[in-house]
Amino acid sequence: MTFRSRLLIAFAIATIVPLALLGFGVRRQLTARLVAQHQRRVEDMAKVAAQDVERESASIAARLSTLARTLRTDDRFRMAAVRGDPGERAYLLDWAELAMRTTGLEMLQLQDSGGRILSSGHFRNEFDRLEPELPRALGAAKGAVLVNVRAPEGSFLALARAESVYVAGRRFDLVGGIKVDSVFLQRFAREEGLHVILSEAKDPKVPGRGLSIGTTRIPRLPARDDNSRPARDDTSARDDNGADNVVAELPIPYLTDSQTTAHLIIAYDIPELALLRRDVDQWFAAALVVVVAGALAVAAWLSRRLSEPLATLTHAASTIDLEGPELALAAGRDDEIGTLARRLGSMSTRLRASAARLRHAERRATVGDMARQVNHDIKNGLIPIRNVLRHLVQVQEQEPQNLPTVFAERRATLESSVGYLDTLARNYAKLTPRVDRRAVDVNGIAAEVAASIAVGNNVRVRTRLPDNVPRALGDPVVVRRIIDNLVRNAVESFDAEGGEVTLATARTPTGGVRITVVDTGRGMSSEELAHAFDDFFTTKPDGTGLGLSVVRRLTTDLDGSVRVESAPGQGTAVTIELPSCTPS
Amino acid sequence: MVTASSAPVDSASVVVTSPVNVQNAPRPTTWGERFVFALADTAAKRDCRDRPLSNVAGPYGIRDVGRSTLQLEPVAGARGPRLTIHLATETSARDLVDAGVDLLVTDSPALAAYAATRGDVTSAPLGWDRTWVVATPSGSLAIDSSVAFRSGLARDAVRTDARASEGTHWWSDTTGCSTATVRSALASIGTSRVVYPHDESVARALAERLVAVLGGRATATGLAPNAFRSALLSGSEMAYVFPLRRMTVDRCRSMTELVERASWLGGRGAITALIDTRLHAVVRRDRLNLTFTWDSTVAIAPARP
Repeated sequence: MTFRSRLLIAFAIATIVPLALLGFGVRRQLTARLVAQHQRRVEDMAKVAAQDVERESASIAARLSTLARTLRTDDRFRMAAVRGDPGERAYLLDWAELAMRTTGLEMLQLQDSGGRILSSGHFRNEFDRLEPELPRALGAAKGAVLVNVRAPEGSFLALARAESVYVAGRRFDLVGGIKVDSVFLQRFAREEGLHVILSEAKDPKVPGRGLSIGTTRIPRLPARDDNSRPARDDTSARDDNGADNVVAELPIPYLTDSQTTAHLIIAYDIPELALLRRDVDQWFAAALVVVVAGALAVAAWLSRRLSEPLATLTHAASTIDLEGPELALAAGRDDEIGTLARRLGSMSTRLRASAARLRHAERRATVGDMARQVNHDIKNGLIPIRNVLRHLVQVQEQEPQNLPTVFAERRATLESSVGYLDTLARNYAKLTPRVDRRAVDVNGIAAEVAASIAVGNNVRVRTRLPDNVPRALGDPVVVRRIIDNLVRNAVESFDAEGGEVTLATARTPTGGVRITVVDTGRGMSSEELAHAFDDFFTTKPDGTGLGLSVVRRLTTDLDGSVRVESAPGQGTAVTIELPSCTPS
Repeated sequence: MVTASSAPVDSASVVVTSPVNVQNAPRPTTWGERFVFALADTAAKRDCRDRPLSNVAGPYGIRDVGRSTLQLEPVAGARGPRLTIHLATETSARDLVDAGVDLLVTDSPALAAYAATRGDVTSAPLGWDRTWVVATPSGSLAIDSSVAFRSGLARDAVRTDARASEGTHWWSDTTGCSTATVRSALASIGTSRVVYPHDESVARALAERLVAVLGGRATATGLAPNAFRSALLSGSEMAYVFPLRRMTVDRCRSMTELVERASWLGGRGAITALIDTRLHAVVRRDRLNLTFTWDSTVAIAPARP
């Protein structure tokens, strides 16, 4: 995996994870606060519902009590129920229906002490049926109780109470109540989103368990937008954590075969919670997109900023040629990459110096060969001279009168051989590695060289020799040879039109001595520059190819450095840096 | 035939305490519709020897149908007063009686008794014209057929002039009637409902009493006329409570009509007669002449010259 890929992944993770945590946290906090707020509200509603149920219970009790008082003074009732007058039987049968309508009750039974139904308001023709358990159970209860009441069309659920009345010493039981249906429950669902469920199960997520008890019809609330649809078929909360609605519960006694309790469950859907969640999700998604896009862009930019210089350095490192010119690395940066580049450049320089020294050592290894060559060359030069001398000695001994003539004849040979040796000596003298170490007045040597160099009329040698240049540590002869070679090379680089040579010295930032020879000559191509320090490489027809080679060797011997900058038609600048005599 | 005479009048108001839907013509589903449709078709009125009556008003045409009134006029060439028939509940009928009506036809003895308290009227019960039966497709439903039970129904369960149905009924004797053998497969009985025509309070009371007596999961359900007709045809309910004419001139024809309504009645299905009921008529003297036929149909007789 590339550095760039890793950087992108890291940025993506670094932005997504905290943002996701933030979104989750905000969502959770909002949910918790809204749920808590609505939970309190629903619990208050449950308290109000409890009061309403209590009020209904009291109202039923009051109405039954009124009916009981009325019965005691109802003569027709007495005649029918006590005396058994058949003429008033119809009155008795219709009494409960009339009483039910009058009092606003929705179920009413009148039973005798044996549990026989004498009159029924909600089911007129159930007279004479026995149902003694109902008033007994209701009488045992403290308040209103939910009961399943039989009706012609089926049974219905009612909130009922019982009341006893004694007429002529006989006990009669009144059982009355109101229907508990969707209309009844609707009074508790006063607000949008509020659902009221009557269930035997406490948990509203258990759908319709109460509805399956016997023939009980637990009413279902109409849905908010569709009155024909049961409201709480979906009694489960809308999401798994159950946070979309809040629930409060009110137990109500429920009379069945097994005395149990029904639960009035008030559930409130929190529509704004869903909206809030949706908004948070949308904003989170938008923020995520923006942040991730931004992070990826920054990551891409950073990775490019990092990887491109590294790639350049890598490429530069892979193309370092110890024999070629120095490469320009990104050493101008002041960051880690700049440091790395400088270190790499420094390493390259040291490697190049080492390579140069290695090459120099190789050359020195060849000195032996050269010595033999020199020996051979000198012998070659001496042999004609010895022969001429032997010839002259022989002429002097045998024909002294001809000595001048013979000398004149052989003089050219002598001069030629001497010239040859002289040339040979001068050439080989340039390779002599004898270095001394002492303080050298570079400015003085430079001035002597500039003054002694023979130049034509069209060549001008200028010097810039400031006083603050320290003395260098080295050999004055070697330094002179270096400067002399450089100036001579510069002068020789001019064509017929001539040019100008500038010989300058300066103090380096590290306290050393810098010698610069700049000419306006023809300059060198990059290929020529690459071989400028090679032995015997020359671009001049009569050049020896040893000038710059000797300069570099001598400079190296003085622990200095040499740098050449040149371009075709731009002239050449050679810079020599030598260590100072005094430590900086 | 029972008659009451009065001076001839051009128009008369009639109160009927029964729903009437003219869309149900010519097949009445309530006694009120039977009354109105009979007025509209004098030709349908026949004597006990099945001869057409010639001395009654009409035939009438229904000119206007209001929310709770019907306007009837004799057709061209026919005799008789214009009739405004008020379709009233027991409560509103009392108001109309107090305002003064020419004729009240009701199944409520209490209302008839109240109307009779006016001094200018004559009140008379009509004949026992309808028998209320419970039909059970399976034939196995345990319906108490004792006289005591039926008497109790007539006395306590219904609020009309009723008696225990007794004697041999025309549907019980299929001798010589080929249609009585018509049978068809019964649909499976999947309910525990006792159904009845919801416009008939007597049927409702009887069904509810049956439910109370049967106990268990039985329920009483009122059906609209068409729904009841379909249910009766299918035979898929536990029991049906509905009225039949108590008397018929042609029992085989009536039997055929009955089996057409519920083919299963020709098979295993059983019909149990429960009670007989009758109507009451209260007429203002000196206003209308009425003719009560043998089957208790009320006809308005032409005014005396």
